[in-house]
Amino acid sequence: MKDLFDEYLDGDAMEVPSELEGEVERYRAFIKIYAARITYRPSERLYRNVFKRRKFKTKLVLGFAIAMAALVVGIFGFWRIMDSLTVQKEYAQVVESAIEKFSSQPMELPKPVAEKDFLNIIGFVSDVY
Amino acid sequence: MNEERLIQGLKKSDKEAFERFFYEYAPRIGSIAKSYLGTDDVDDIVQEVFIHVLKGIKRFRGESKLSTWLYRIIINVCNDFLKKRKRHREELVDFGDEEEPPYFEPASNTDVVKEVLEELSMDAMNRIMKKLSPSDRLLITMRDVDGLSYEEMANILGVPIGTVKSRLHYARGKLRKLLQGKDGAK
Repeated sequence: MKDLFDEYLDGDAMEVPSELEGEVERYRAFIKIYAARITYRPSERLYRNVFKRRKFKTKLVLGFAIAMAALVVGIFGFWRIMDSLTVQKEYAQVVESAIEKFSSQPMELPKPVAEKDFLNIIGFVSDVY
Repeated sequence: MNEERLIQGLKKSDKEAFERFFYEYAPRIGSIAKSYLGTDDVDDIVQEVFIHVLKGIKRFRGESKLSTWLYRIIINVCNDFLKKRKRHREELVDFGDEEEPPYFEPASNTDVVKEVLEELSMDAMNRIMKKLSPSDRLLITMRDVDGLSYEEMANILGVPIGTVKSRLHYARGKLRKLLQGKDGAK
């Protein structure tokens, strides 16, 4: 929705009734003063603040990345140590159970050579030489 | 450095691009925020806008103009600020009387400007603008101060062009009435 006032302000209407002309000029003058009123000049302090925060953020991201890498390395190292300890423990358990097994089960000792066989061996040796 | 190179520079966190962006856009961001919020104390808002820009620039695909994208960020940051202010009933340093007098370029209608300046004290001007809602002030700033097209305004505000025209018509109408002193401005 636009009326003649809007059209004149937007530059769509070239001719404006004299009774409206003053009002339009007044409006434009007000806007000009208002535009100057809301002029903003950024301070050096603001630039430094924004820039510092940006640098701090970069450092923060970098620091976080390093910390994460260190954490991963740490977890991996810890896991390796734990793993080797488990292997050692398992090995010790196997050895221990083997010892236990050997000590609890009676082993069959070699039978002494029978006298008859002994004579046969002597006979064989004397036959050879 | 054109806009595309500036955006690429910002995406690569290039210091020169950042500096250029700051000095070129900070005055604009500040004046929009001043108008929308009706306050002179907008350093925090400008800083917040820059943080949002630097955070989001990598996702900016250039589908709209940088200024359009930036306008949206300013409006979002200002809306957040207004919500917070409403919640905490925070007292702001509103358009003050101790402001230095405004500077403006002399133009063909300088006489009318002089007349209006003589008639209206800074205090009266502030009172008039404070009688408008933030969105009315924003619409007037976008169109009459910044000279944005209706299409750009519709893009920024996410509403049809017809809605922008109608809202602006009402905002201008309110200001016209206030300037005539028909709304208790004087």
